[in-house]
Amino acid sequence: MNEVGQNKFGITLVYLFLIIVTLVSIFPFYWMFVVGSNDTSAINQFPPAVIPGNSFIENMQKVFERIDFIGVMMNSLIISGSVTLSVLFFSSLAGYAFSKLTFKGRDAAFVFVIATMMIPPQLGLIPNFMLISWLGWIDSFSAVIVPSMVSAFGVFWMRQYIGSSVPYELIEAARVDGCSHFRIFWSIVLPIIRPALATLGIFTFMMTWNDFLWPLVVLKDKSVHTIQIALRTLNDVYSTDYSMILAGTFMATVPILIVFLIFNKQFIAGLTEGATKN
Amino acid sequence: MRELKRMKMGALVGVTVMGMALAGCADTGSSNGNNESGNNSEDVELTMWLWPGFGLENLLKEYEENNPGIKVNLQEAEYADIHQNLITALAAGSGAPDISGIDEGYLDRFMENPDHFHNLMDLGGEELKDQYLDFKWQQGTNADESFLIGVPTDVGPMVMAYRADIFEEAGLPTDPDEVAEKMGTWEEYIEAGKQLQEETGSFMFNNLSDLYTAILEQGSPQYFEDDGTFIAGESERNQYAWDLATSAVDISAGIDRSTTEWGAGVAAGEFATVFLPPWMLQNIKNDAPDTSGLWNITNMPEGSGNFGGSFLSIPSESDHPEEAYDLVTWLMAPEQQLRIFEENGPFPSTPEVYDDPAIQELQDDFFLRDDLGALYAEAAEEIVYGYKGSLHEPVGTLFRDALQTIEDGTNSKEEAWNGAMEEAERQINR
Amino acid sequence: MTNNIAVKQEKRNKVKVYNQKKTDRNTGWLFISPFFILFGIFGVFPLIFTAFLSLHRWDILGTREFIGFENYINLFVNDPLFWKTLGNTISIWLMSTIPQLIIALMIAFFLNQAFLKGKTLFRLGIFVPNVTSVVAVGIVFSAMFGTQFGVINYVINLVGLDSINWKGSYLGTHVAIAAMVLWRWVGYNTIIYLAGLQSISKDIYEASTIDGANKFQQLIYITIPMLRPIIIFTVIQSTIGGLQLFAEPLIFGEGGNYQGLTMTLYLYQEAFTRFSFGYAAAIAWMIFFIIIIISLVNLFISQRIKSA
Repeated sequence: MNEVGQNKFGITLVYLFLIIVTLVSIFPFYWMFVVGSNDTSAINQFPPAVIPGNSFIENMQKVFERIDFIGVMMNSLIISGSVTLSVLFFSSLAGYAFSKLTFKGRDAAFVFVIATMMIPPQLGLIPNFMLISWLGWIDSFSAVIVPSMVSAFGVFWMRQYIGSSVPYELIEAARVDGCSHFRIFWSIVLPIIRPALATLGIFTFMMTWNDFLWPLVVLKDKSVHTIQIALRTLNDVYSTDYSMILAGTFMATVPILIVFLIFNKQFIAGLTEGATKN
Repeated sequence: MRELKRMKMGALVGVTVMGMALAGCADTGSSNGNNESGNNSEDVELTMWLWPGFGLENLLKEYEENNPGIKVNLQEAEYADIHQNLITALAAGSGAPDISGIDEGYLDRFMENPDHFHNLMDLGGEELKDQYLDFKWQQGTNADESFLIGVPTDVGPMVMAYRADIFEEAGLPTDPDEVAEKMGTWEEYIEAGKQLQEETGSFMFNNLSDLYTAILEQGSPQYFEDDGTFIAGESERNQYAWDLATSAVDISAGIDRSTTEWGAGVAAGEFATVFLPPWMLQNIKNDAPDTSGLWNITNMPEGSGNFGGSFLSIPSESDHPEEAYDLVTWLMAPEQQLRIFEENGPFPSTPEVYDDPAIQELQDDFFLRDDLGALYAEAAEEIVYGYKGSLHEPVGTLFRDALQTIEDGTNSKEEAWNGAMEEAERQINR
Repeated sequence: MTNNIAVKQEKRNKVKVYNQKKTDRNTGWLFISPFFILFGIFGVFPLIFTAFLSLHRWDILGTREFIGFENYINLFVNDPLFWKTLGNTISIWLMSTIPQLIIALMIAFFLNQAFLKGKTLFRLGIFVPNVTSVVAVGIVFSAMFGTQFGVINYVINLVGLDSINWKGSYLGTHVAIAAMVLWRWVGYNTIIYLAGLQSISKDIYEASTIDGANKFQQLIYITIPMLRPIIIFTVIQSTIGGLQLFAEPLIFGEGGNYQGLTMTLYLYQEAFTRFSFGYAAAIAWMIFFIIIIISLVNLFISQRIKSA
């Protein structure tokens, strides 16, 4: 009796906590829509504007006039999609090797992978530009896709996850049956680590989608601009039309949320299904 | 259920693979952008880097029509990005465009390395001299005028906007000429500001840094002598600007221009005057639409000053300097600059069009006076040239930040000045 | 029965041990090779190039002048600002990372409870900060932390306290930037923990419930120990990310006393606003070393905690 009451109280608290966290989390995103659907002075109001206006369509039309919105969204989709698939594959492959195969130099190689994460990314800008320009990749998607086809972050993550979630016995058993390592990786490991793939997938997609530091150095022609570069060109030096920029930014964020929802189902899969198969 | 999931994943893969194929197409489509155009046909393609706001789109189309065989590939990026990209490309030795915009803030950095650019004097640049404002010409040339880095574009003559209603409440004059007379010097301006603060509770201006910069820009030398000697410590101009600014802490609202607080401050009437070039008028209109009809504009104390304006340069990597030169001199000729201005573009740097009705009769219902353009033209001709040097901006930032600490109350005037000087010396000697 | 199989397997393994080691080694290197090939092209060259640059004075457009270790010497003896940025970075990093990971773990633990409804909605909600455009975040946060027209000071005044000068004081600036980091990255870490929680079998929780353990005990005695590899991952990642903090201070502003200036922002300004590329390269290597040292200390401490 007492315990049930306590539980109810606890559950209410948990809901309350989560609702507050969620509201705080989405406010700036919501507010982006508020300003994007008003005119620019909404940004300066005090106390701040919190109710959406009715100029969203109008602001979006301004965006469409200034940039090839659909075209740059496609470019971003192609780049982010290719990078994501490639990172998922190569990182989990390497993560599997690092966690489940024993070979000479493995630990040293792994420490090296982590060390590469510590290099400040701003450092590579100029030397990499020289390299890309030597390869003749300026204004081509390869310049953005190829350098990020596998990430240290992804390898590290997969190594940690596979290490803790894939039992050795499973792999041993498959080895006994004569499966090759690739086969084991593909048909046994991958299905188990689906939550990790979903996580890495959404993060990689998002990071690539939002990145502009490197793309804007190598993608100059309008036809190859990504959405982030195109949005930056909305930024006039003379006066900044925040409503237009935020309306465009809002629309540019929607695809990431869709991708999140696609991956979402995978977050919670994994072990339960792996276990039943087992 | 599982089927559905598979289909979703399949669709995603499909899109990506298709995308990769498309990516291949896009590559071949655009790869004849840079420098390769010479060998395939007689068409010359000029790649041009600008940040948004030059207002050249229509003129470029017209030029292409009138000059068969010339194609202009305009590539826009954000202001800071254009400069960073240009520096990267020049340093790497490849990838620079045929024409690039350069803002005056970055100009001296590029001027110090003339090898990276075609000398427009070799292409006939001498003929341009009389078309442009003197200070603009001097900015774009080296000391003995043997090297011209680019063709001047716009200028940003500074004037003072003020809230007539707040001035009235404070018992100050409201007529532009009377205001200009009452505040002929910076000391008189600060005096009036104190009166205004006492009477109305509003502040006179947004922050010390902006006041300091406005005063600094009215004279030279500022931080560096023409030969590059660092003189910020002794420079009369710098000391004058610093002393005036630090004596006005009480009438400063302490609001940075680059923040949204500035917009809120303008809308709320927190401060009564703003120093601005023409292109910044729009900011007041956007940020505080409700203050329409309350603003008037007059000359700044002690003359004008310049804020902004650029040049169109031709990097030496370009294989078509003559064609590029013809294009930029046409674009920035007086008639075209006037047309740009008429289409809501920036203010011309060519004084011969200043008498044109389009400029003389420029008006804006937002502001009380109806001869804005005449005022700007007058201010533009008052701008004096001062050598800046490639480290001007970083040093200026140090002094402005130091003023910020005085305003925050974290440093005394002496601490702030000494701190800025020490850090400036360190940065220069690195 | 399982025992039996295991014993048999072990015997077989011993027979095959030599062969297997060899194939393991080849496949192992084959599997990790894509990373090293790409890194060899796009990582090693910049690293060497930067090391080379750091021994020069180079304003990027002009000539390069070899000056030996002068940049490094300057950095140590004549650049108090750099050491200030180190202090700022560590202070902001500690203020943001510790609460960030604890809150993320709590949220993930709650979101993993079976009774919870609307999981997808909550998950999407907490993920949103990470995808919200940096521009929008910057505008919202600087409006919130405005000294005169800020909502936070407004509330502080309502309670009867004095306004805080967020942009003008050390503590104010550090708290504001840390809050921004916290806000942006809690959801990210929550998603990571949530993925990690999926590998813990529900049976363990059920068994412990039968044994009378409450939720809090489950969190301490089951969740955290089993999540250790994932927690180590997040700690190392937020250490690296925190020490390379760049976007948030750039948006918020560094303040007149440079109390908001972080190491990476300083590096960026040195390279792209002051154009001292040689010096910037030396700073880059310093940051690299500092991150390695702090990560090692970090690892040492986590090892201690593990063994305790």
